[in-house]
Amino acid sequence: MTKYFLLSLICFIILNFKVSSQSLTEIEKRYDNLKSKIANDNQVLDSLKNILESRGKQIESEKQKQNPDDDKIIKLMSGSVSLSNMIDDHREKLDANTKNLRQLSGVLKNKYSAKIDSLTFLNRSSKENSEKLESEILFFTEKRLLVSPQIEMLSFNPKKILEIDLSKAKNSDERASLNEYLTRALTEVNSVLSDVTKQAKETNDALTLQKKTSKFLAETEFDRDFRLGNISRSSTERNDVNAALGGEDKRSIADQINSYVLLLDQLNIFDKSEGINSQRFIYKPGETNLSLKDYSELLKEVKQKLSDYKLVLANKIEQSK
Amino acid sequence: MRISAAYAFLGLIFVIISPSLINAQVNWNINTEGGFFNSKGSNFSKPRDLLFRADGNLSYLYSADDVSASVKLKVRPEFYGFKDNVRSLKFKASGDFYQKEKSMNWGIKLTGQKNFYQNNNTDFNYSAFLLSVNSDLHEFRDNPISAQLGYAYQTASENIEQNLDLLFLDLKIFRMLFPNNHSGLGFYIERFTIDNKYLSKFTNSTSTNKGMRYGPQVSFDYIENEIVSIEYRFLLHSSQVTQYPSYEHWIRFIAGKIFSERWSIFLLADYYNRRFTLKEDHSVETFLIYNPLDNENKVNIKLAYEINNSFEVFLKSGYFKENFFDQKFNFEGWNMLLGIEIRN
Repeated sequence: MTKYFLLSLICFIILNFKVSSQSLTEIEKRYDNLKSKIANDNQVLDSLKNILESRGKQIESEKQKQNPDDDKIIKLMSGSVSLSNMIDDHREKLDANTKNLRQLSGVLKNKYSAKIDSLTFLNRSSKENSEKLESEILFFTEKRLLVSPQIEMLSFNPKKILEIDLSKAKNSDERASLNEYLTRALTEVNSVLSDVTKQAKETNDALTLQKKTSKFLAETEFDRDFRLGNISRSSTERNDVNAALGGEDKRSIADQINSYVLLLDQLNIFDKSEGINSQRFIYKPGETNLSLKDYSELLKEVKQKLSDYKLVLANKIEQSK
Repeated sequence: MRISAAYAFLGLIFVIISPSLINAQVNWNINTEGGFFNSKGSNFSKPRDLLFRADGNLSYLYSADDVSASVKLKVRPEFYGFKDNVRSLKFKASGDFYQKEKSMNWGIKLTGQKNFYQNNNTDFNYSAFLLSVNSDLHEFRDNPISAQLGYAYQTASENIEQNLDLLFLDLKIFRMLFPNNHSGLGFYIERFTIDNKYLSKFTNSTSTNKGMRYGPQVSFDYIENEIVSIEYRFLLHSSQVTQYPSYEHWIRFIAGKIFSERWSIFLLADYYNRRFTLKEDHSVETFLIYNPLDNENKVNIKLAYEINNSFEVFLKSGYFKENFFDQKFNFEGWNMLLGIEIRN
């Protein structure tokens, strides 16, 4: 029986080695290729859809004629069937590639985060090259923001704000007004970030308590699964977001969660196919379910996005001085 | 055969989830603890001695948008005293897969375990495995339903040689009675078969006992700054060797709190009480009474201090009283242990 485990372990090590040995440049190249492939496929898909639509119109107009040409209609319809099949095939490939792109963006995000962490550590431990290290941190933070999913909880358009270039201001008045606009945006981001941080802490505290309780039970009862009189899962293992955030009524919990999902989408500045699927966090009490863990993940994602955005925004304001 | 199949299935889960390592997480932790134990009613170990225990855990977790899977391996060596001691070694492996759908979550879980016990006079071991399929339905507004269907098998060597097969169904409906609460009401039913090879080898009497356990269950959970959980189950027991009314009660109380950021305290208390009336009061029949291993009354408490994210020291104390198939035997004890945990 142990041979199955040994075999699995060998597969695990080989695959793990294969993924971890890829360099950042290689993954970025794969990511860019896949992204442009998806863009091309989207164009092809759009053209195919347009052709199909025009065929549909042709069929309709032929049918409405007083003496419709049946042979022409049949020819058009059979062409439409093969077009429709082609669209399905393309959509299938596109979905698979989009899924791969999402996974790759996850890998890149982790690698950028690791780079940012090590650069931040270096920056804290040594004062040498501080300026260079800070610019590298900013470089990787912008890269992380590019590969992460994007927030409509903000009153401004985050993408437009990032496009503001103070060096291109025509005069000092324009520069001052742009600077004020950026400062107001930063204040708003700080305020939302503070709310999200508070909510994330409360959720994490509840999750940590739940996790530690489960761990205490597992170590106290090594043979727990086989206490056959008590074979079912412990109730401490289950807890949906409703029970854990029960201090508020369900409607306001749902509104709060869904506004964070919108915020995440709003900060999804670039292609919406990238990064995590924010739609999985959409919460309708009584219809869909969301675990405390999912909610914690959503808050973590929103917090990270806002922090990255804040850093880039603060840097823009700093440069304008 | 069944145990090998369990390990093969676990290996398969491991291979299937390996290629998707980008969403995977590997966690490990090692616990070592030592202290005193005091027991009475057993000839297996000394009544008072030192106890040393170590725990090694390795888990591999994978999660994507709506799917999660994990493989966990555990090992626990234990030493009761250093001279003429009792030693035990326990292995456990488990794998699970969960899928989240729009209004339903479903999952499959498999666990295999092998325990070895040894002292200077005897040694025995037991194996067990459990396969369960569970689902959480969120179809009914405000009242999620949980269902679990499973099969479990337990076999023991040496003088015990009692095999236990069972098939069970566990149903519960939940409701939030007040903020931060989760309360459940349900029904548990189980079909079991006990096969005692010791009886078939050395006596001419019947060596099997088939029966059912069924009854209501309630649960209450509260989580805010502290966690409190209470579960109660009342099961009627019918089998070939027991007569009506035979029944059992089981109550569990769990409480936990994290305070001052780094300190935490947890309590677990189990009370199990059974009233079985035998059809014929022969000692042979007592060997066929439903009696899974590790079915005990107990109280455990743990006070822990987290020095940093990967290092913790703790103090544990526990009391237990085993329920043997022959209730004339009485085995109980307590222990006090000091330990450390290192984790990634």
